[in-house]
Parts: sequence; C-alpha cells; structure tokens
Amino acid sequence: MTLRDCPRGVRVVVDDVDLDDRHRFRLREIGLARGVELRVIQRGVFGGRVIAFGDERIALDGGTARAVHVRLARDEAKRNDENGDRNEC
Amino acid sequence: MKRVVFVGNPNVGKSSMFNALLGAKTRTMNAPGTTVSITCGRYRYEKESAESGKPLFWQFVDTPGTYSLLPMSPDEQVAVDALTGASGMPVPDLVVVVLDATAMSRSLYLLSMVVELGLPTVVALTMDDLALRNGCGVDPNRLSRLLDGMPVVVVDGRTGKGGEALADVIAEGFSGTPVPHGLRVWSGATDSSDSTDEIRAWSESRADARLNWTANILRGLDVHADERVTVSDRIDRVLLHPVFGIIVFLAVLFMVFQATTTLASPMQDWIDVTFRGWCTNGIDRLLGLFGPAADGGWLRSLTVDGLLDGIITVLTFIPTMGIMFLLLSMLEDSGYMARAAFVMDRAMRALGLDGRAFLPIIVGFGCNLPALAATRTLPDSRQRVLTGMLVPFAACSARLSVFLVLAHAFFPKYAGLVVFLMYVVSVTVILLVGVLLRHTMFRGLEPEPLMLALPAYQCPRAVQLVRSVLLRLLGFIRGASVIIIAMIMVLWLLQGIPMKADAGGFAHVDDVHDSAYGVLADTVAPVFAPAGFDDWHASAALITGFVAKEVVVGSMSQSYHADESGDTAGNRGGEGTLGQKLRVSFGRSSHGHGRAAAIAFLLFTLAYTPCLATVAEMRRQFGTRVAARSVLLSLAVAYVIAVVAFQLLRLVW
Repeated sequence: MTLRDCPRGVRVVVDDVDLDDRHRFRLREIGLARGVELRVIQRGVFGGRVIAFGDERIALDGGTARAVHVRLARDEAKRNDENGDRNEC
Repeated sequence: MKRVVFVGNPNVGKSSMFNALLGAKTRTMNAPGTTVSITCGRYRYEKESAESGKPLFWQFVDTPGTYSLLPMSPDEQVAVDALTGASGMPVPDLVVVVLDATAMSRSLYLLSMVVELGLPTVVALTMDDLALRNGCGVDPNRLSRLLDGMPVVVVDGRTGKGGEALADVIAEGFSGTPVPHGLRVWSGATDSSDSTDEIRAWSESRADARLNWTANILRGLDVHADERVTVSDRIDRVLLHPVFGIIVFLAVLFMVFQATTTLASPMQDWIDVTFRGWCTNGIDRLLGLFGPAADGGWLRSLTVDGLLDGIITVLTFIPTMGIMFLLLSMLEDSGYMARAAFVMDRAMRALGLDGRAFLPIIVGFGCNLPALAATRTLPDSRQRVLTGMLVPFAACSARLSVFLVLAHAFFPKYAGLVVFLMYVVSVTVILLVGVLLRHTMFRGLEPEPLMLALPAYQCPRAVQLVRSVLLRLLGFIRGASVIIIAMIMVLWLLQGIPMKADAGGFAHVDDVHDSAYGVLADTVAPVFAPAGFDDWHASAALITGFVAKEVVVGSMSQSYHADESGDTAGNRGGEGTLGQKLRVSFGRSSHGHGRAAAIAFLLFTLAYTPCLATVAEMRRQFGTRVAARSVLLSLAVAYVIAVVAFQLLRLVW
C-alpha cells in the first residue's frame, strides 16, 4: 500500500521509500523516514497528498506519494501480539 | 564588523523577523555569481561596548530558507555557502538558527547540522504563540537546558518582539556557545573553499546520529505526536479540496489580476494626467520667473517632455507594483501560497514549471511588470529565471491597445476575433518557448518532486506588511528610474534634433520624420521588409513601444499627423483618420498585402520586448546577462513569427 491509495485519516507507518537517493534523503530530513507514523489528511486533485505527523503538515505530489510504501499502524500492534505468543510457546 | 547569519526552514517567519529587527535599513542583492537574493543590513547594538562606550554595529545576513545543509536547489546552496564561507562570502562570526515551534522535528534537525559546523550558534524560537494556541508550546528554558545551555530566545516573527533579548544573546554568543552532547563538531567545515562534495558526504554520514539526537530532544520537550485537528487543517479541508480548492485558487488569481490592472488604473491615470498637469504648471511658473524667453524654449521642452515625462512614467508603475507587492506579501505571510503551489503543481508540472509559476504568468496578461515581481515566490532560482523569461510573452493590457487599433483598422467586422486570436497565440508562444528554454538554457531542469511543508495559517500584520511593501517599492524605483528616465531623455533628444534645414528649431521639429528620430526609424525600417511593414511609421512606433507599449498608438497618431481624437474613432469604426492612414501605408509597404502585414505587425508587437520598466526589473532581479538574453530571445521570436506569418498570409490576403 502506498500513500496514494491508503485511506484518509488512518494511522500508517512508513515501510519504504522508492525514490532516488537524493530525494529519499530529503524526505527523511523533513521527517518521513522508515518507521515514522503518520496520517493522510487531505487528498489533492491529481494524486497529491497532504500528510500529518505531530503538528507538521507536508504536501507531496502524486508521484512522490506513490513512492512511499506504508502499512497500517494497527498491524503493528497485531504483529507484536503474534510475536509475543510465539515467544511463549 | 562582526557578521551574523540567519538560517531556518522556509516559511517560519525568518524574513519578517529579520526585517523587523533591522527596520528599513536592509539591502537586497544577489549572492555572488547567482540569481538568488540575500538581504543584508547593519544592526545597531545600543548597549555600549565596554571599551569604547560607543554603540556596536553588526552585519546581519538573511539566507533563503532551507531544510538541510545538503542543498536541493541553488537557493539552498546559497544558504549553505553563507554558513561555510564559500563562494566569496566570509565565514560568519555567529549563526542564528530560527526554529519553528510548530514544527520542532525538522527545525531541530537543521539546528543539529548547523551546530556541527562549529560556529557560535544561538536559537531564535518563532511561532511559539501559535504553538501555544495549538496546545504544544515550547518552553524556551527547557529547550535551552536540553541543548546544554545553548541560548534560546523567543522572538515574534511578525513584530520583532524579543529582538533586544536576541541581540543581548548574540553579543554574549560571539565568544562561543555550548555544543549539545550527542553532536560532534566537524573541523573540516570551513577549511577549504572547494569542499562542496565533502560537505555533502558529511551531511549524509551523520544523518542517523542527528535524527536520533532530534528524537531525544523532542522526547525531552514532551512534544506529543497527537492526532490533533488544528484550525489550519479545518481551513485546508476547503482550500485543498479537489474541487473547492481549485475554485478558491481561481478566485484568488482573478482577484490578483483585477487588482493589478483595474484597481491600479485610476491611480495611474491620476498620476499621468492630474499630477503631471500640476508639475507642468509648476515648471512653467518657475521658468516664467526667468523671463518670457525661457518659457517655451528648449529648456522647457527638455524639462517637461523629457525629464518630467521620465519621472511620471516611473511613478505610473508604482500603483500596480505596490498592489502586487502587497498581495504577494499577504498571500505568502498568510500561508496560502504553499497551498496554491500544491493545487497547481500537477498542471504546471506537465509544462515543466513549478506550481507557483501560474501566478506570475496569469498576472503577466494584465501587466508584465508586477508579474516579474511575482516570480519571487518560486523557491528555486532556476525556476524563477525560467518563468521570468516566459512572462514577457504574455500579452499585457498595454499591447491590447495596439491590437484594438489595428484590428479595427484592417478587420472592422472581425476585430474581436483577431484580438482573441492574439491571446491564443500568446499562450501558444509561452508554451513553445517554455519547451525551447527547457531543452536549451535550462537543460536538465526537471521540476523537483513536491515535498512542501505547509505552514500554519497566520494573519499578516498590517504595519509589517506596509513596511515591507514600501521597502520593495523603493528597491524597484531605484532599479528602474535611472534607465527609464535616461531612455526617455534620449528619445526626446532624437526627436528634437532637426535633420533638415526647414524642419524647425531644436526641440520644435514639426514633422517627426525630419528629426534624428525619423532618421533612426528610416534606418531600422528595411529590417522589416520580409514582414511587410518596412515603413518608417511602423518602426518609429515600435521603437517608442520599447519604452512603453501604451505610447505606441499615440506615437503612431503623431507620426501620421492624425489628431488624437482620430485614433478613438479608429477604435470604433475603422473609419477614423488613423485607421485610413494605417491602411494606406501598410498597403504600400507590403505591396498590396496590407492585411497580412497588419497581422505580422500585431504578432511582432505581441512578442518583441516588454516595456523598458519590465526589462529594468528583470535586470535588477536576474542580472544583466539574463535580461539581455531575454530581450534578444523576444526580438528573435517576434521577428520569426512576424516574417513567417506575413509570407504565409500574403498568399491568401
């Protein structure tokens, strides 16, 4: 799932950024690194997205949004539970 | 004099704060070898220095906003150079890092990089009032403790409140500031001047450490990543909405367009007519004191038709420029410009331009001059220059007056259609020249992916607004007045020198054709033979049009000895004296293909160069080389399309 098709308002976690080194680094510098939790709060008309983490708002164009792979934050909690169960076994 | 450099993210109110600190005593110039502007000023530190008992002066330098010291644009590169003492700029004695209290994580990241350069560093915290309102205020003392004693001063970006405290902290900071633990000073920062690659490598290598450090400080500050819906979010629901967003944007665009044309118009007329009348009367009365001989002589002509005309011309641009500067400041300071960039991004990206390029180009269809001023909002200097070179091809309203006269004279039943087609051509030329420029002069300039931090909405403060507008107006006048007044005086001189024995006295030449100006027009005219209008009336009008397009129609009337009322009749029915004379002379110069020549002339007027004020402003913003290239490009494009149009159309008409 990418930022382009992820649902609005739901917390997601950044998995991977599929851009060239320079732009991936810059995204990291403005706060979008692997493991960061964020929400998509606005959808633009041609695929652009506005994301929120904390009080910061970042506007991304459609191409960049498509390059950021995310997963639902809820999965995080579920996966932790599963790992916990396995350890107990 | 000690040098203090200000850095910070874009849109944190750094420039407003900078201007508020220095009052009106700032100077904007291009960084050495670039088209990126930096602002400098001398700050007067009132508290007496211990030894001399006199106030101290510091050199304050403002840099373009940047997110990191690994630059992604020429503007960010200038910020890095200003910090490291590269590209001809001296190494600063102290750095003020402006942190945005509503966006601490990226602010702290930049701070970490700056601190590692090893220079004395202090923190100016802005937007704290906004952060408090949102429930995430930053306590400056707590932050300072977390930074191991680095001075932190809260400054209001719009009013400059806190400026004195900041000055005190700067004064103490010159002797050195603490380096927070977890950060490591890089000794190679200011060693050699060719270290751009080294800086890049250093920026990348320590990124993880700095990001961890930033996270630690944030934890210490207790800044929660809550799912708060801020006021700005609510406003953005509408302004960034896929449908409403575009509607609002178009409305804003329309408002800006109307304001710079229709609203400015009565003020311009007042200056051009009433104020000019007062000045003329005043001059006459003054000259009358020196006896009847002076009044009516060439001195009067020089003063009224030369010098005064030049000054009035410069003054007539003030209303439209002032309104543009005001609107630009309001749009930027309120935070809306960033939203506009997001809304228009996709459309402009298809043309290879930045989303914010839409505003200058649309405004250009009203008047090219404020459109150039509007290119300021583009954050990348290359995009600014590219857009600035496309603006002159937007058919401004002054050119419209020429279109109307010729359209009515040659195509009385289809005048409206002809004018409409001129606008279609204008848009097409902009698109095509854009493609041309991107494959030649701006080869390799791809629009960067949009990763734009949206600032919170703020209400711009009136006093600050007015002050910044006045400052910019002063800059414009300084840049434009000399060249415009000089050109107008040259034209006056040329028109005043009689070249024939019976032409009349100096400055009283009856027929313009008999003056030096007429000779110039005759010399230039043959160039236009392939375009069908190698008539001295046409070239004379075009030369005057280089100074200001509004004057073309008037100067055409003058050259044909048609009286002034003639051209208004020409506008309406094509039967006025001017219309008839145009048809005759165009018909003659084109050997019977008057209409084709008229179209060629219209196309040439559309593209050839914008008025002198626009060229002067381009030179002030982008430098002489870019301005010269733009003028040559315009002339070349205009000539080519005029010639091609004539040669094709004369087969039909």
